[in-house]
Order: sequence, then structure tokens, then C-alpha cells
Amino acid sequence: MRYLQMVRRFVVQHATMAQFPEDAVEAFELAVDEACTNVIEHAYEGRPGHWVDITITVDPTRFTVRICDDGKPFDLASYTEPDVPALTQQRQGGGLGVHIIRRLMDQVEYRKRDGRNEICLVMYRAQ
Amino acid sequence: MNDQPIHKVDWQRDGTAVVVRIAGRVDSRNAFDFDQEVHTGVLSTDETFVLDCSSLHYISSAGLRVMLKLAKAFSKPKRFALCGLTENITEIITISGFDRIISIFDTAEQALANA
Repeated sequence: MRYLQMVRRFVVQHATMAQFPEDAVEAFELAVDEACTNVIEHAYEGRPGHWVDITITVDPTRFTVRICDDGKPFDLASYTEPDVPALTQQRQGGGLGVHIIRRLMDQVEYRKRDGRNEICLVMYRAQ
Repeated sequence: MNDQPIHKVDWQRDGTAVVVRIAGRVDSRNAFDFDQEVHTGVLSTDETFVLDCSSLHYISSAGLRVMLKLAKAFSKPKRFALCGLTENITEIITISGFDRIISIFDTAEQALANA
């Protein structure tokens, strides 16, 4: 968790350099925060000593952050949007992070590649 | 980008109503500390809890879960409300759907009068 701040700074710095507006930069910061937290807490189940690979790609039309890990895969098939009123009656606030990511980003893709989990967060540049 | 790593919490109690002003950032690194601080600070006699977010710059789902716990602990007949949301915090609260389950006011005074 102590590296999260470093990751957020890395993404914010590059999104700012790519001249995305402030609200888009903030959206990326939070989406990457949520995605990395999910990797740490769920894919690696909070165990230390694992890696997370983060790649940023900037092109004229979009900004993409790819986050890879080799932990427990995310089961997209079993994911359901959180029922917020019901969450107040539950002990966990499950699914909130993924929900936030999907609402903030233009495109979110999960892939399994060479035994690794990969999530791609994409935001298109306003024309 | 304001990247203050640690939240700061200020408590003001008037009878059975408490206004807690949180400043800085709440994310997965410090949400547990925030939760503990709130848990130990609340009195069993407290009936109204207002979370003043006017100095809150950033919140992730980890911080939202602490808000959910508070909303649950202060569900009717007790009262829980948020106030002073900045533009970016408002957006997160809205996309999370929390605006449908938590009362939101502009100021702490309005929250205390109407929560």
C-alpha cells in the first residue's frame, strides 16, 4: 500500500503531461488507485512481496493505463453492480471500487494473458 | 495535485450532535486509521453525526466504506449527514450512488438543522 502514492503520482504526472484536463487527471488517479488496491487486496490477498506492472500509453486519441499482476484472477462473470442502499445493511462495501472504475473510465477491459491478469483503463481525448 | 498523505480530523460536539471535519485524503492507506478514530471518538449518547468534507481533497472506495459504516451506525432514529462537499468529492459521492442514501447539505449548520 505504501507504493500507491508513487503509482498515483506517476499516472497524474503523465496524464498532466499529455494535456488531459484536471477532472480527467483526477479520474485517472482514482481509477488507478482503485485498480491497484484491488490487486493488492484481492489478487494478492494482502500478502507482501508481489509485483504490479503498470504501463502508460499515450497516443493522439487516448490515454491508456495497463495494470498487470500474477495473482488470483478477477472473476468478471460473477461481478454485479453494487446495490448501494443494501450496502448500508452489509458488513462489506463490496464491488464499490470496480463500480467507480467503470463509471470514471471510457473503457475498461479485463484480460488473462500468459498467466497474468491485465486490466486496461482507457480514456479518450475530447475532440 | 494536493497529495497530502494523511487525513486530519477535528471534532466539535454540542450536546448529542457531533460535527467531524476531515481534511486531506482518505484512501486505502489511511481509511483504517480514520475508521478507528471515528469509532473511538463517537459516544453512545451521540444522536447526530455530521461529516464536514469541506477540506477533504480525495476519497477512494476505502474511505467511502467508512462513510457507509457511519451511515449504518447512525441510521434512524439517529441521523447522519455529509456537508461541504467539493466538486470532485461530489462527483465520487454521486457516481457511487451514496447521494441516494445519505443526506447532503451545503454547511454544517444546515445539516444540524435539517439532518
